[in-house]
Amino acid sequence: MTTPVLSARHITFSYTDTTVLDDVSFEIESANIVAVIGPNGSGKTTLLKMLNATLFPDSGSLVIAGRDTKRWSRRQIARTVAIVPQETPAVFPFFAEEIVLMGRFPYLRSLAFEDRADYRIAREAMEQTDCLAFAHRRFTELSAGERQRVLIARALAQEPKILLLDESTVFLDLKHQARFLSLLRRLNRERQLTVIFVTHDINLAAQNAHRLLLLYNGKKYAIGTPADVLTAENLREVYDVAVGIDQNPHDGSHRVTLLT
Amino acid sequence: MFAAISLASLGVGAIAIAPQDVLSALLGALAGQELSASEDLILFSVRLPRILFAGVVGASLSVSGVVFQALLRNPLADPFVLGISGGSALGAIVAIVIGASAFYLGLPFLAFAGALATVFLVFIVAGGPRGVLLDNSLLLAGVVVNSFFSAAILFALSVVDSLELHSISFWLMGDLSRASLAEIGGSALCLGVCFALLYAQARKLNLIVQGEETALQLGVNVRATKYILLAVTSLVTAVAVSFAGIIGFIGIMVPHMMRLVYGSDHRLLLPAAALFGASFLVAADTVARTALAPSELPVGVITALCGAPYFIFLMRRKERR
Repeated sequence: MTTPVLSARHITFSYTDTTVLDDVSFEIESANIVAVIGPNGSGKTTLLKMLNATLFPDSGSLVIAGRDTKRWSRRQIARTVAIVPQETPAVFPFFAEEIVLMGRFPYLRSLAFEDRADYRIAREAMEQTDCLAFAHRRFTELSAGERQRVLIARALAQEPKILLLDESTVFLDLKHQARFLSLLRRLNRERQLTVIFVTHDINLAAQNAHRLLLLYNGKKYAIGTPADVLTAENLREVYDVAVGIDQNPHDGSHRVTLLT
Repeated sequence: MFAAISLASLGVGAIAIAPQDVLSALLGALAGQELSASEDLILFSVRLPRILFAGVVGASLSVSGVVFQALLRNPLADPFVLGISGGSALGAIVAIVIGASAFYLGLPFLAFAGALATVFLVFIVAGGPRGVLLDNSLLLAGVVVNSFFSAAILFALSVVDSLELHSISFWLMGDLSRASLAEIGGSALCLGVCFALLYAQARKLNLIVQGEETALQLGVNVRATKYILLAVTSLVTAVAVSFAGIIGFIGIMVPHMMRLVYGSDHRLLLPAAALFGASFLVAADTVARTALAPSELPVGVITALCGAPYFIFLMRRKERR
């Protein structure tokens, strides 16, 4: 049994008067790919913000790599956990490459410029996400899908042990979705990268994740393999929909079909 | 470029001195030669200090503009528009009225207090839920705070005896002519120290521009960085205002032009804005003291005359996007 890279213990969190997460506990083992699913407002994004320590639980604790997130310094956490946000405000015209190089911030001393190794890591990340072609274009001028690939490259340049994704495939076209998903699986295999992604696409989750975490009204409804979590009863209870479930003939994964 | 503009500015004035004479006078002075008394007086006692001072003030205001724009992620922000300059001026005038300016550093200190109070006030007025700053409400807050301060300044002026009135109102529109050598040295020192502090945060500024949450995720201690930056820029602004009065719009124009030329990386942007801001204000001040020679215009008139249209142009372009 491997030690968990991340464990949440009785996490509770509220914004002023609405409880968003209510006594959530789970563990994620190293080098797993985990999908977080659940209806709108079930607390997925808030949970993600806890995992990279931009929010902290009101009560309970979140331990990453053996240490409570409250006790990490910002730079330490940024070397361990990277997130690809849904979108990012782009007011000032930075070059795409500059944005990716920002992923190297947690490794640099405060007055140093990026050195050759940083550039190499950034370029490698851009190659992996197919961004090199527009490395020297302004981020503000890129399409939504291209921006997303730049942000993915920035997260990879952080060389994290845990990668968080918040609906990171929505703007990608089919080709780049396929490239990105196989990149994730490869990094997961070769570098033991732990991936935690939030998505509304249940089949995407079933095809790519080792484990699913299903949230409902701020509570952990279920966690386990796709076969455990994606049952017709669970989905009816949580999403209030009728579904048919069978095996995907192409990869043997669990397949959910919405019955309308 | 700063050197060239300064050189040109040295020569221009109510009494023109040819550029080659200026150059030879400067070189001669360096070599220890005696100058004719009148040239010596004009060049070294009147124009050179004033040019240096204009450079310091221009650099201060431009650098403040860069930092405010980055912190607020709004290319229309600057110490003048946000009311910080007005706050400093009010602080300075209060110092004059209550006589605190007689004490050592009393005037810049109260100006600094005024600047900090304004930052605080603007953030409260413009703050949305959970400390999120709303884009347009910020500029609105600046307008409100600014008009409040002008009223307060007018009130303070009406209590002051009329002899000082002319000089204060001249100073309010930006006046680079009255700084003493000690004040010039002090503000240059302050600018140097503050610039070093700001420059050390340049890369963090790059990240903060990407959004505070992103900056947090990439390893920046956002809250602490923000407080440091706000305090330091307020100090730079306050010092510039307390010795030179309110000179508007430099903090918008210069950073914007520099972004067009050098891109958005603050490690380049900060020094570029400092140098160009210095050159710009020297040029503007040269125009101010020569346009109606032998009488002078407040330099703030010149910068506002170029700056206000530029601001409108920027704002309209932003809206179209």
